[in-house]
Amino acid sequence: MRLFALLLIIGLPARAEEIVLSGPPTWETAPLIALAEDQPLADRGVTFTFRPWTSPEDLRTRLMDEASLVAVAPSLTAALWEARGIDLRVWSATSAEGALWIVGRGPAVENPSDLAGRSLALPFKGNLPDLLMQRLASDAPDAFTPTYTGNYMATMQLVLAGRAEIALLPEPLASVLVAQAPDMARLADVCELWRGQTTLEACPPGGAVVSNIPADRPDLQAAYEAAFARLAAAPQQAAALLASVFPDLPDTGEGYAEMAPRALSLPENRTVLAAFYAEIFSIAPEALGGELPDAAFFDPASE
Amino acid sequence: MTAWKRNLLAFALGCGLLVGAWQIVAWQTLPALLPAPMTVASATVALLADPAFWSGALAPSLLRMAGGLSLAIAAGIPLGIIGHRSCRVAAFLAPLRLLLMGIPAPILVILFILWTRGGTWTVILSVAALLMPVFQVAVAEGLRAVDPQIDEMARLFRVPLSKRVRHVIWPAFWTALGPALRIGVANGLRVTLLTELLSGANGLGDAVQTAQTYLQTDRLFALVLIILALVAAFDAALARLPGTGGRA
Repeated sequence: MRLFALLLIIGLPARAEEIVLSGPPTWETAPLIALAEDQPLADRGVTFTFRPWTSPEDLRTRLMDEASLVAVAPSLTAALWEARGIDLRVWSATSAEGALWIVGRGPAVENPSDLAGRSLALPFKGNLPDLLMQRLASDAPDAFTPTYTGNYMATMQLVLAGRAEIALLPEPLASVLVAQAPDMARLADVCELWRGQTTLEACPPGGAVVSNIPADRPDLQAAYEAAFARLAAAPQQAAALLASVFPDLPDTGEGYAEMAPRALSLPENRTVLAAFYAEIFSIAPEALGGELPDAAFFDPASE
Repeated sequence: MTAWKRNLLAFALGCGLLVGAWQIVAWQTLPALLPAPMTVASATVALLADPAFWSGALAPSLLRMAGGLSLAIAAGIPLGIIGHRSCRVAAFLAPLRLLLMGIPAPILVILFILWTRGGTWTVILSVAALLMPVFQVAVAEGLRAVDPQIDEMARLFRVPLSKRVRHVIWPAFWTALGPALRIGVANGLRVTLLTELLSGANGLGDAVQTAQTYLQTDRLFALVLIILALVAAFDAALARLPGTGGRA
């Protein structure tokens, strides 16, 4: 009885809850690592644990197996999985100026026609980098000669070996390449090309924060957004966080310094993400599972 | 009922059991993870009825595989003959042979992508490099199996070279080369797929990669069925050649 009274006075202990966070070695993952380091909801019994995913298949398995998972995923993959019947919620999308670059030798690329006749190394055929470039060059399909690779490091090596003139690389690899080879330069920010070619104002929102937690969790979303905002104010700080989990990732905080990351919370920013999907759908509908995401994808409350 | 019919019935029963188990599991699973047998059958028919699949995936892969295999045979047979005739040359060639036999296929493919930009030549060179030692060793072993006494007798009786090759050398030679050819064709298709998958060159491997990327699992299964059918067809055709161990 005394114990019961004591509990009433001090409040019932919060139920312990473990949230697994996951992401690839990209800037967008850093806020999740920060959550796992800082444990901002520990007083409410919420523990964050970070475990990186190694491939989209790995992430899909975790989404279906883990009790509570929040992960950074490619935004196209999120829409594709939704179309294929895999349950998930999209909390937000992420975009950033200065995150994806065309790097290499030769003159600057001010618009897609400047790519004409040049060999471009790019990773992951059929995935976001390839589809972005396809969309940029959709008015001139033979604008460049693509050479596909299985990962970003191989893309870098192709340009270094002189097998491709230019490459599509994200930070920090764009910075690493420019630092390694004096004859290399950043030729174009893909975001700028995208804006010019699509008339969309936002950079391509390539990342998405997805979760398999069915209920609304404003507490978790607020914690993520706070971590994101803190890092977005000093993007170079992400390098140390990422290095703590991905020791093989080149440590180049400088590469992140010029980035301007934006968290596009949903459903408030649904038009931005929907417009991006529409652009990709216009050239590769199969990348989204053959259909554009419905309203519930952006806002589960609209169901 | 003949033994052949009984075997056929057993084979059909085995297939039926597998398909039945597949259907039962598919009922409990998301179609994106495990499509039902009928869905896969429809996807297979759709693929085979699509002219773009024949011209954009099947034909390029088969032509590249044939190119790589021809190059492997063209290089492997002379190297095997030279190595058989001279121990010193065999020792000289051994490091290259061991290197090509020991290096994991994905690593060699990645290097070829780096050196040749990916594309048709990457596939042909990868297939040729990985299969050449198979033919080199098979030829050397085949020649070693030629009965020296019969060969000597044929020489003594001045049997013409064409007849000596046909009746003395070729049967022994073919007992090693025939099985190598069967293994080479199956492995050639595997290496072709792997190289296309890693390099993004259009073909069957690229079709597999695309189906996996876009979670088109029915299409992925259909491609696997087509690839298995191709391997089985090649193997059956080669098994009919004399000296290839038809029942193996």
